[in-house]
Amino acid sequence: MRAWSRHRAASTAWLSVSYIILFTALIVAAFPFLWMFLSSFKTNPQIYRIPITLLPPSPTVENYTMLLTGQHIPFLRQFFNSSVIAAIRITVNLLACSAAAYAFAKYTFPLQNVLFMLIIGFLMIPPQITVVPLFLLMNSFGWLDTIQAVALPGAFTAFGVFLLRQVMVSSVPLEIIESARMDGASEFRTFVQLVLRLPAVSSGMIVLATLTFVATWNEYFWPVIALRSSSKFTLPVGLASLVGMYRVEYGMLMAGGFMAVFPVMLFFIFGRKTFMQGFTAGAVKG
Amino acid sequence: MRWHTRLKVAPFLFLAPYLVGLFLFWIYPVAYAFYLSLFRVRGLWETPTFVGLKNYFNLFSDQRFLSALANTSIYAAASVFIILACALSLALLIHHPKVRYKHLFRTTYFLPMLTSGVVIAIMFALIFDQEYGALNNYVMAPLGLGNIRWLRDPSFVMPSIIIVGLWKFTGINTLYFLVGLQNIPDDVREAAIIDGTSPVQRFVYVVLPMLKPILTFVVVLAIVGSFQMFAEPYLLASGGGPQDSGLFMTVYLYITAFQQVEFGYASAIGYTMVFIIFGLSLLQMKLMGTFKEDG
Repeated sequence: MRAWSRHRAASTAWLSVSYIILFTALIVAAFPFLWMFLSSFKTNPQIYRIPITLLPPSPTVENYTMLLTGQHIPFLRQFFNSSVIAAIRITVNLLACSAAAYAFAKYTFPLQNVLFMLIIGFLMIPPQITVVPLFLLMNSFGWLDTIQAVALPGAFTAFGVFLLRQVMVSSVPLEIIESARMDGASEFRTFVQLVLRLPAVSSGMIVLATLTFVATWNEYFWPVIALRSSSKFTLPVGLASLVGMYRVEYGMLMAGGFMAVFPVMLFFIFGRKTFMQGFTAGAVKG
Repeated sequence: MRWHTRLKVAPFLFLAPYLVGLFLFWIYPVAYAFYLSLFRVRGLWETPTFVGLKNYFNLFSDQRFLSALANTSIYAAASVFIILACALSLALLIHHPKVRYKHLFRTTYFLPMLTSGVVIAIMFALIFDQEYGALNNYVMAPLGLGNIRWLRDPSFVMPSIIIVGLWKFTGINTLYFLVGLQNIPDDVREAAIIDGTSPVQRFVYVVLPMLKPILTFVVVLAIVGSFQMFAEPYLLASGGGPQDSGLFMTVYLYITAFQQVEFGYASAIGYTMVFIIFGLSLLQMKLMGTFKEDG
């Protein structure tokens, strides 16, 4: 009896310590977002004040109006550019990857496995080595400082082919493809009207779209190389340009940062499962 | 069209758009970067001069490159030993059957991963501010620690960037480890408990070996990720930081290519990174015995 209660006390103590650690980590993970959000309603003098305060003493939307009226950077324009680039990249990536994945999953052709291994091998190569040649390529196309120069290079992901092939191998039965052929449907029609509409395939596409969106929306390295003028900038490039341009206008930066993460967080709230599934897809062995 | 021909041609038509994109934006640039790395190319209009492997040899005596290599390696080591250790600890705590609010923890820990590196740099610039920052005011001061000049003091630039990395990447790795922990069959753990093993023994002899595939995955990812860090070190340390104390490999590649306009030399930096990443990944897989297990 005594041993049992001692064991119980030890496990309660252990559980309390676990919760303390887990909640501390939770606060650490959430704090920067909260701090950014609260600071976005402070004026610069309120940020540069000792002692610093968590809550804005007299909340103001001044930072937001400054950004939205485009006094320092064409913020709305940059928000729009980011959206267009994300839309192009998601569309191209879904179309190109799903078609390629279908070829790998449901056909047999010479050098099939070699080609697939080659594509997967490209996952290992860090994209940084491509930026100088891509810059020269875009220059020769006359595409520097354009939307398509940013959107297209990241639109053919090896991961997309890998993910969708996996889905199609496991959840598209060959029988339904063959019965569609018997009914006289063309290969292309079978793919578009039958395969892509299967629930498993469309949810795989949604996972890929989500990942592509987050990666594109947040990307900085390639856009900062390909773009020159502030009217063409994406949001991250525009915000980063504010860092160097003025005496650090933290209030405005925090407002811009908050508006930049807002769409991602909004999608995340509605599609939490899809996000988590997508981000851990690579970790599941098989 | 005859069935036979149709089934032969169709896969190539489905593959064509992807392969065109892959060739234009991946295969060609990857190959051309290697070609460029053998030349001295200054700017868009100067004719390239063939220099052989000279760009690669020059790297060894380039002080800035060596700083970048050292900083990136320090960060990579910190990723593996600090970030992954924290992530594994959190995953073990969340995985315990008695711990509740699992969804809340997993979801919140995941949020930093969704955030743009630029926004992270902006957030942390204010957090690290010496006088008005949250870290010095809310954490260091109550602990009685002095006013640290996080991003200005050369010896604190790397710790600052490691803190940012810890904040950004712990959550996603916790999720990876949770996937691994969920894949351990319950009966294996129960059998170990019945055999009278201590929690430490169970962790070392049961959990760790079964986490090996996921551990290999996250370590490779952490190393590759370290060599790809750009927005955070570039913006937080404004380029390389005081005395290049926060200069990262990708940042140096960017500066070389697009500020000094040395395309050939920048390509050599890029390829050196590829060799290092491949070497480290292979070494790591060999150490973890991945080949033996799968082969």
